[in-house]
Amino acid sequence: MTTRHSAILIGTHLLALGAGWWAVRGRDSEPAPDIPSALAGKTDRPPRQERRVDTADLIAAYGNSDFWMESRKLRNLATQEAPASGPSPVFIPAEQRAAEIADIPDALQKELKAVNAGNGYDYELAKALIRRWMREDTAACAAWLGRMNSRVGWGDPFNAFAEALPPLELIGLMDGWLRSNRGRALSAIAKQVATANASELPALLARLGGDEARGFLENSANYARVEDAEVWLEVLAEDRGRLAQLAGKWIQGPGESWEWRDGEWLPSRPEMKDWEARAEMALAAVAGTAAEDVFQKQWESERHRSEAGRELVRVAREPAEATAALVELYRAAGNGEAEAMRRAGEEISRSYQDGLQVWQREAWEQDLQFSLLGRQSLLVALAARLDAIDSSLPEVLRPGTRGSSWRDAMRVDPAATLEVARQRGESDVAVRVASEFVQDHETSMPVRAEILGLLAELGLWNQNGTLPKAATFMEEYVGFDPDAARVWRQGLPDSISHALKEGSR
Amino acid sequence: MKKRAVILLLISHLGLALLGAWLAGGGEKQKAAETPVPVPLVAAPSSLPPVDPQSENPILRASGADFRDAWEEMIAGPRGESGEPYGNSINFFIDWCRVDPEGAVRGLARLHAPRFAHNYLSNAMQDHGAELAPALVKHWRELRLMPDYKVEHAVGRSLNALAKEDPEAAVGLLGELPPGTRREICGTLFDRQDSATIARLVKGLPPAESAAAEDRARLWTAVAEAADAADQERGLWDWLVRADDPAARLALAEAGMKKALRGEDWSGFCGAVEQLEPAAQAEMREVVRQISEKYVYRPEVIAAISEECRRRGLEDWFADPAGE
Repeated sequence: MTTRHSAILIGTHLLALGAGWWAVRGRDSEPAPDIPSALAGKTDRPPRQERRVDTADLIAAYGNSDFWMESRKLRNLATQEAPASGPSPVFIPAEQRAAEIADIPDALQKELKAVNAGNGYDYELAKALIRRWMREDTAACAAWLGRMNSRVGWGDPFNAFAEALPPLELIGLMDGWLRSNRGRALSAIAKQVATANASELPALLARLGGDEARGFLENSANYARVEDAEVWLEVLAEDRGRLAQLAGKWIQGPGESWEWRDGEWLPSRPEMKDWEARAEMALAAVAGTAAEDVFQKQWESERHRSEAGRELVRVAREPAEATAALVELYRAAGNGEAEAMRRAGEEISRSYQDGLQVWQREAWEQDLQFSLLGRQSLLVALAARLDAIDSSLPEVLRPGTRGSSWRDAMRVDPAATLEVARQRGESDVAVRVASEFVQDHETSMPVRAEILGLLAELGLWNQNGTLPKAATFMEEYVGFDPDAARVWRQGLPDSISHALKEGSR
Repeated sequence: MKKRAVILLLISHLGLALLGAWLAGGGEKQKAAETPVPVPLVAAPSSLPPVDPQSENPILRASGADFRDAWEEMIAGPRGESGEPYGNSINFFIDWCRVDPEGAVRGLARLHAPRFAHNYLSNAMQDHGAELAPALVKHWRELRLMPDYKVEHAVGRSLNALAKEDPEAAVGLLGELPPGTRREICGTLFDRQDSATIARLVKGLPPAESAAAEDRARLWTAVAEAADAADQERGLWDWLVRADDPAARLALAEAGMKKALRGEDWSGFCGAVEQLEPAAQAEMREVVRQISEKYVYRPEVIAAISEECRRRGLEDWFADPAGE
């Protein structure tokens, strides 16, 4: 063999070696997971992330109840504890299960133990057991209930007790009870009386007397029904404060909870649909009594509040028309033209400032979401919105809508928001919003730190203004998340670092 | 060239190619061996298969990446009344947590829905609390658009779920959290755990001595409530007898007095105090006086406590010290 042949052979063998190495290495490489390696290693490996399903198919599957219910069933099977043995459990109504139990106190004791241990318990069974026991041996059942020692909040047995007999008879069974249990039973009875036996209220109050009667009346008044107005007017005749509470309960309009549905404005809570009919019932019941004026006043104020509320909501859709209607409402309520306009303006500002109503909410929220996803710049979206507010919203709506837009933007992207403020010469507004934001307990620590850091960079973190002092904030941040606080501190400009050193002296 | 030589050449090339492949594979293995393999902290993985590639159902077939891409599309779309993305997004999110909890937590951080976002975690917690714990501990800082207390509540609930399966893993994860977040979490960690787990969790926690007094009180109040719930008869009294930290004794005594007051039975509480060292007993007497003043105990309650003291041959805690 010649030297040339040998060289070729060695070369091709090396190539084969390389090819084998390349083939295996190439096949095994997975796309790197997008999790920062700095944080990796603390927990288990990220799952393999190869795509299996078309995005549209997956989204569509959640519109198909067969598909997502299958997943939910599997979930339920996995979380349920496997039955010890025998066939899979069949649903048996609580009443039937309770009927089959021989030793009621023992069964209730077991439920009680489960409640106290915070384990799953069967409140339907507990209620059914009390109902049965009250039928079979009232005295024994009452004695057990009176002395049982359970976690606060386990009201089910007391509710079953309250429904078992007429209220006066129940109270007769409660001698020798633990005070706390007596209190719980009385509040269950108070609710029961208000919803089912209001006519017995005067007799019950006379029987209880003193503090207990007062508490009982307070509890049951929470459930007072307009159908029993006569009784309530009798027991509360002397108490105008309580009567006003009742008026507030029975005459309650939708306020600002309206929505535009099927071409008309409807209360957004369905139970509010017949509020006017219920209010009229209450008014008819008090006609000619001393409470009439209290109720009449409530009716007028609720009607006004709800009409105004509807117009306030409508401002977001039809600013000019709704604002005019609102002014008209205030004028009709006896205000002069100027006062009506002032009040309408104030109300609109309040409502839009609080973020209850948002002009062009959907488009704006999508802008915020797209900015968060990095699909567009908040710089552009915020500037465009502020321009649109100035050019197309009536004067009265501008301040509130501007204010809530600044706030929304600040939360999503403080840097872009402050930049927009700088470009528009509105840094004072931005600092005010930032200051509110930093002091709001709903704002997370990382966002607070980011906002303050940005303000510091721009030279806007005044140590004697409305913003927290650097030293105060640093102390709070270190107590919360020392590592993050250290990193944050390193990024601060010299002036603030200096203030920090001064503050720690 | 002869036929035999050609075959030999083919075999030798093939052999070297295989050697290359083996080296490539072996190299990967070696690399894996060099970097420490992180120990999975989740004790009991969900009994559901994470993904079933054979399923007809796209939901059961979907990988973490599939969920992530679909989520990005959902959250870019129109919203409901309270700002939630349309399309059954809660169930979507829960299923995502089953397959890829980390991806789900990070996906949530990309959602803008201030009034609704926290609902995703609280719903997912019911099915995947334990699996979510490592993911939340690793990525909680990314959930910056949610208020801290809502995030901490979610972390606490998931650690609570994990602790039911593996208390050590829960304590380990708790140690990775900064002190500010840990504080809130202690309130949920013990809830509805059994007595043995409570003891293991307390033992595994970072030492309480370094914490602020308020945080220690919070920790021990949570322990007291959980211990009592786990064992109504003895739980609280055992802890009170064993406690050697005054902050713990104070919180346990306060919880114990509440329990005694509610049940109108002071025997358990006085029995526990009876077992304490004399110094601790004296301290307890002060605690009882303070708490009875703070909550304005009725005379009959004070009489019941004095009576129980007499019955046990203890000095009467309410006797006027000047009169002694």
